[in-house]
Amino acid sequence: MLNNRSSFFTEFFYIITLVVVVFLGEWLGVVRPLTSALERFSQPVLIRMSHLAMVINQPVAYVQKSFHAARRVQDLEKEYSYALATISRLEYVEQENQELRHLLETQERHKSAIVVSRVISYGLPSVSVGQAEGISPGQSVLASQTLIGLTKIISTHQSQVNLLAQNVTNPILAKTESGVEGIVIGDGKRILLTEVPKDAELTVGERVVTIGQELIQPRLLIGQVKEVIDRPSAPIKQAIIEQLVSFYEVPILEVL
Amino acid sequence: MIDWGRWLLRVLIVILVVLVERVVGIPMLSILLISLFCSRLNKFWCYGLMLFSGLVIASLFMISLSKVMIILGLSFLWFKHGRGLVASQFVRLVIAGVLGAIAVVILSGALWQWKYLVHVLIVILVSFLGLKRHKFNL
Repeated sequence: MLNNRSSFFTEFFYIITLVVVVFLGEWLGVVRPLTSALERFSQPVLIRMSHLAMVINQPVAYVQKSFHAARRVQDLEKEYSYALATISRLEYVEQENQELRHLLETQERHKSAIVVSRVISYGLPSVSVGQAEGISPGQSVLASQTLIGLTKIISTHQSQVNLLAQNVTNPILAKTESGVEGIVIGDGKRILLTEVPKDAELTVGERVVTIGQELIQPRLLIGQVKEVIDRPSAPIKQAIIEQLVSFYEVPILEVL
Repeated sequence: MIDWGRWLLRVLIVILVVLVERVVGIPMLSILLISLFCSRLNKFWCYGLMLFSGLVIASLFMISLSKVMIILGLSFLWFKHGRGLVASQFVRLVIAGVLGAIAVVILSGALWQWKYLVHVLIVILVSFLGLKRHKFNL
């Protein structure tokens, strides 16, 4: 018994010493190059493994989706016709815009840098770009032109993504097509458009886009209103937002 | 004397498992294996393995190495010296893995998700079957 206790304290002492040595190494900046190098070397393997995980998960996702396939096709058909109408309207606006620009001779367009990245982890959603690629915390992560999350923790060659459904601390200003403004926030499972005035009209199927704030550009698509929550006792309205793309289904993302 | 081949094989197994678990999300099997391997090595190689594995976990899960070393050290101590509290080695190992993995997930800034529970159950099943074959005290 005494021997065991002595062995425990000896090992405890060794571990504490090791932690102190490591802490000193971190403080002196010795550990950082090692972790950066490991991150860099592990990235190709992680990208391949993530791709493999996606391929393995595809049948499950396919079965899950097929339950609501008929309704989904109907929704998509409706969306498609709506999108066609929008395209023709936008083409006209674009033409008009070009003519105006030509008149004003302002060919300069402010385009923010887009960094293309790949998924390296699904469990702790992460992408393969980091400080080395100029990424900073709070930048928008897009999948198929849809805002799906914000960068959270950044290291040299990778960044953790805070998906909108899990984004409980960083509210995003947003508005619907009809101009109803609110805040987009996650509750762990769903994406909610909240702080909507009680008298505002929310319609199922309406698109929700960003208004624009620091590091988040305006007019980024967030999703569509899926369900409106209007409790008589609540002072505000809420809406559940549905996204047509998922972090778990696209291998390539954009960081804006 | 240490068998270099066996030690390197263990290091490679740990690296492979950490890489897989980085994609999945929680490093439970990695912590479980590190505790198990370290308990069977002498001091020098044990802390060498712990340090190297800690470096891999720290770089992949974006946590500071000192925090990872604290987690690995406590898991190892619990597994090796927690006999007075829990007699079964298997239960001690699973507790070390689960608590260590939860600590890593929380420290890496993520929220605990219930889908991680599926991974935890799979790891428990795999380790149960794996350790049973090696006449482990379950």
